[in-house]
Parts: sequence; structure tokens; C-alpha cells
Amino acid sequence: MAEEKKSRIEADIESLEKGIFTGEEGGEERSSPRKDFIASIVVALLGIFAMILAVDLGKPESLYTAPGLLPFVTGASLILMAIGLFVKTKRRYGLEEMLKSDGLQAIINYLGYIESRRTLMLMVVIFVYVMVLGQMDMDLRFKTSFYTFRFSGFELVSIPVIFFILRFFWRSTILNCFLVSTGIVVFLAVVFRDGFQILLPGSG
Amino acid sequence: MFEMQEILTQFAIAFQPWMIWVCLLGVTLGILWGAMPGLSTTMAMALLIGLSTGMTQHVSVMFMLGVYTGSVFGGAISAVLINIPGTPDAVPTMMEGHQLAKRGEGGLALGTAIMGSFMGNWIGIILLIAFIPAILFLALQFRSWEMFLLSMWGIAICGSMSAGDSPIKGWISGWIGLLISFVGLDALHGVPRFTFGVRMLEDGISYIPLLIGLFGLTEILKVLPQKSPPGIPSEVGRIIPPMKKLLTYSRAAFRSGIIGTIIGAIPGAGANVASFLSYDIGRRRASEEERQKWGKGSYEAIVCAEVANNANIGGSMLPTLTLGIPGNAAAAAILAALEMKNIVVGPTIQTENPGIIYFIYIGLIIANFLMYGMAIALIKPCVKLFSLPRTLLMPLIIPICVMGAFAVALNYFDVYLMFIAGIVGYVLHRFGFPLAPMVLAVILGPLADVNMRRALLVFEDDHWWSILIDRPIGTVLVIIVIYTFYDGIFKRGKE
Repeated sequence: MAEEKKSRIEADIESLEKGIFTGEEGGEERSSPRKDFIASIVVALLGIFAMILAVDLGKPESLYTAPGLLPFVTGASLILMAIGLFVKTKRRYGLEEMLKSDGLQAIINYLGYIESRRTLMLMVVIFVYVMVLGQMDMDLRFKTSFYTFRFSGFELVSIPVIFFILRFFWRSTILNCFLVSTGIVVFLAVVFRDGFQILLPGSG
Repeated sequence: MFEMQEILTQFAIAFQPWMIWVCLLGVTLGILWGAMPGLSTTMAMALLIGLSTGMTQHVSVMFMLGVYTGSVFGGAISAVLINIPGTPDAVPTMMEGHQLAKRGEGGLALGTAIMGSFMGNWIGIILLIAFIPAILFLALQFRSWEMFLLSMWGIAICGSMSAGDSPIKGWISGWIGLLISFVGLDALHGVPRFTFGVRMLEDGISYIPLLIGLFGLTEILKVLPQKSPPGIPSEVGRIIPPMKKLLTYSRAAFRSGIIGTIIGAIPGAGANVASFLSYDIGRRRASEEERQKWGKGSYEAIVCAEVANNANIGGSMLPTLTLGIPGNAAAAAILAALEMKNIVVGPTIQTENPGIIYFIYIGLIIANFLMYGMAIALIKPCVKLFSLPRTLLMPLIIPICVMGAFAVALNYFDVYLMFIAGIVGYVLHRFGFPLAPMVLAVILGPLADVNMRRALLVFEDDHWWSILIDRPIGTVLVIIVIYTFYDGIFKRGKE
């Protein structure tokens, strides 16, 4: 991304050399004034929404035991934090920098990066995987004298999805992708189902 | 007498061959996982909880302790050999170790890291054993008001420690987590909160799918689309853990062990902060001659970083076991695994689960010895593993995320939650918000909510200020909470 100035490792090395505390997850290098501006608005709206919902919960006996008491306080503090984030970003970068917007161009720019497109595609594929697997209810058993082979909805959906993701990201041959996806899904299914006696999703 | 008998019973359970095997499996998986660039300790812990659902109580605890111990060390292998830290806390080890590897001293650098990790684990375990009775005694004096304040402080300090110079973002992440924790039936009145008529939400949001989504799926979305060539491993050479060499750095090791343990005990500050801080202090304290080597390949620097991030394990278990407040995101996964096996952590852990604390001590000691052996054995196979591209490895984790989220309650709704958490985690990451405070808040939210209302009810007939001054421990905690926010807003924020 254009805004991703340096990688996490680079930022970590820089902070180590300077002896600056960056925190456990140190996300500052990923941030930008525009992102912080959007975040402060979304957080404030979330706070207001939480407060409205909290008030709607009513007070069964006394205000002190009201189910919405802490949610209300949490919502109110979120609004204060959103204001704090806004003020901090404004002080650091100025209002002009915060409000600078390319409108639709920003989205076009975002989609212009190959990483962004790959991320969005991955999200869609995982979404489809989760939704389809949720509809599955199948567990076929093939009994032999020494072992009962099972083929459930989990294997049926997981193999093609992992195959597709491997083919797209790994870019190996069709045979390699097929062998790896089948091998790993069957291995995981056997370990979870037979080794640890855990029911698999999509297997009824 | 009773305690001695209990310790012996736990010894007998922990030293069963099956337990050792399970711990070995955990340590091996942990080292391999930690060694793979992009796969963090928390991710390993979050995903392997699913695998532990089918295990019995003791087996599950032993397995998770093995994974934790192994994965913290594993990061050092790729850091030294391919100049990519397996876990974020291995960055200082990478800076020094890879320089040594380029000079053909990779084996010695890794040997130092192994010995440092081994020693760090020992310091963490000893301090854990030494301080647990005192903290448990203190924790038993806590009432509702103190528990509420402690929970809120946990979330606030986690926000501060996770987000570095932007603590406000850490707090926002924690407060969003609090809102998530309110979803479900209210514990006092049974009123549905934030459920929007969805019956599945009435049971609340389980934090295990959330943990898997935030630290598993989010990582996949972050790492998989990036184009990154596999690292080229440096020559390993002979790996001899240099005991004599380490003895020359014993002062630095001891200091780093204490730093690592203390940092581990602070909620939200994990192995990353521990190794960075210890590295920085180590550099300031090093002799002039040694300081010249820092950044160019210093064994003392490796000792400082590795001792600290491994001592962090024992430190993080301290608040987790005594107060039910995880020391870091990985400890939150341990807490989840314990609660899944009906082990109630917190001040009453000794009475409700007699012996489990001793079992955890013994488990950590066994895991440490196994880590030492397996680390030496696995370094060369790991070099082969590094030649595998991330684009091959990361997709294989996707079904593990799905299976892990489902296995916890055999409820597919949790898989949807895991997916949503993954997307939300990715968006928050892109906006520079840390994720650990959110998980911590989801765990601590119900505790804070119920205890706050109970405390207010107890003080209902008194003056409003009596809640602030009538209970000394509460008063101290109020000051600490206020200071945490003051420090974040007026000191660190300005930096």
C-alpha cells in the first residue's frame, strides 16, 4: 500500500536502534492522518450507537444494577477517545492533511495495488468457503476389515477451496496443488477426527 | 503435609510417558510454528486450542504449555538463519544472530539462543513459583470493587503497552472489546443485551473463535497476499550450546530474566516488549568493548533478548493464574484452554482446582527441558522448512482456523464469528489498532461488568466518595488506573 511506509520488521529495527518504545504490536507505522480521521468518526458513531442501545435496556431495579450501565459508560468513553484521537491527529498533522481526500480515486488507487486485489479475493474465497461448509451435512463411510474410511462435507468443500487458493497464490502445477490440498485436508481430518476424536464441520 | 502429597500426585501425573509425549508434540509443533516466518506464538496457541478440545484436562494443559514454550524459542531459528524473525520478539536476535551467521558462526549464535532461552525459562519459572503464594494471598483480599478496577486496569494497561506511542488506539481497541463482551444475556437480570433478536447471540460471544479470527485469519490475510521470496538459509555449522560462554554473560542473563518476568506479568506486554526492553537496557549496561559489537553480532545481545522473551512465559502466567487476567495474548490462549477444561483461574484456583498450579509448574519445567533437546534436534530440519514458500504454507492454515473455531463448542455459528473477527482484525490492523487489548477486554468484560454493579450496590447507601476511600486496596487501584490514563495521554502520547 502507498501508506505502508515501512514493514513491521524495518520499523522494529529502527525503534531498537533508537531505543524507542513501539509497543507490543506497534501499529503507528501503518496509520495515516486520513485513516485516523475516519477511525475517529467511526469510533464516535459506535460510541453513540452503544449508548442508545444501553439506554434502551432500561433499569429493572436500580440504576446501580442496570444492565446498560457499563455499556453506557463504555460508549461515552469511546466518544471521548474518538475526540482524543481526532485532536491528537489534528495537532500532529493539521486539519488540512486529515481532510485531504481523493474521493473515488482513493478506492481506484487502492484497487490498483496487486496486494489489495489479492487480499480482497482471498476474503471472498474464505467467505464462500465458510458459507458453503456451513450448509454441508454429509458423512460417507467405507468400511474395510482394518479401517473405516470417511469422507465428509469438510473434505468435499475444503479440498477444492485449498486447491484454488494454492493455485492462485503458490502458482505451482495443477497436480502439485491437487496433491498438496488433498493430502493436507485428509491429514487434518484424520488427525482431528480419529486422533483427537473431534467432530469436523460439515460432517453432520 | 497435604500440599506435599498434592505436589507428589501432580509429579506422578506429569511424568507419565503419555504426558511427556504430548508435551514433546506441543514443543515440536511450537518450535516449527515459531520458526516459520509470519506464524506467531499467539497464532500457534490460538489455532492449537482446537486440537486440545479432544484431550483430557491435564493432557490439554501439558500440550498448550509445550506449544507456548516451543514457539517462543522457535522465532530465533529463522531470525538467525534467514534474517526473518519467526516471531516479532525475535527481531533483536535477528539483528545480532544473522550477522554472526554470515561470519559462519550461525551454529554458535543458535546455541547461545538455546541456552539463553533455557535459562530464561528457568528464571521465569522460579519467579513464578516464588511470587504466586503472595499474589494469591493478596488476590483473596479483593472484593467486587477491586476486581472491577483490576479488570479495567488490565484492559487500559494492555492498550498502553500494545500501541506504543498511540495508547489511545490501544484503549479504543480494548473498549470495542468491552462492547463485544456485553453481547448476550445479562448475568444479573437475564436481559438480552446487544443481541438484535439473534438467539445464537444470547449465549454471548465466545472468545476462542475471536482469538482464532484475530490472530489466525487476520495473519493469513496480512501475510498471504504479500509477495515475498523465501529466505536463503545461512550455514548452520555445529550447534554446541556454549555453557562457558553463557556464564560470562550470567549477569546480563539474570537481569534480562527479571525484566522478562516483570514485563510478562503486566497485562498486554508480551515477549516482544520484554526482548526489546532487555536488548536496549543490555546495550546501555554493556562494557565499552562489548557495546562496540552490538548491531554487528553480539552474543551478549542474543542472551539479553532470548532470556527476556522466554522468562516472559513464567511472568505472563502469574496474573493469568492468580487473577484471571492474561499477561499477554498468548497467555489469553492458555487461559482459554484452561477454562475450556473447566479450570477456574483467579484467586480461588487453589481451592477450586487443587493441585493444578503445581501441575503447571511441573509442566513448564518439563517443557523447558524438552525445548532444549528439541531445539538442537530441529534446527537442521527447520532449514529445509525455510525453503518452502509462505504461499504454500499459509493456505493450509485456513482449514485449521475453521476446525479450531468449530471444535470448541461444536457450533458452526462460531465459525461465522471467527470469519467476522478475522475481517475486523484485518481492518483494525490496517488502521494501526492493536488487537491484543480487544481479546483481553472480551475476556475481562463480564468480570468488570458484574463486579462493578455488585460494588455499586454494596455502597448504595453510603456517600459517593466512600467507594473511593473506604477500601485501601481499591484506593491504590484507583490511583493506578488514573496514572495509567495520565501516562498514556500526557506522557507517552506526547512522545
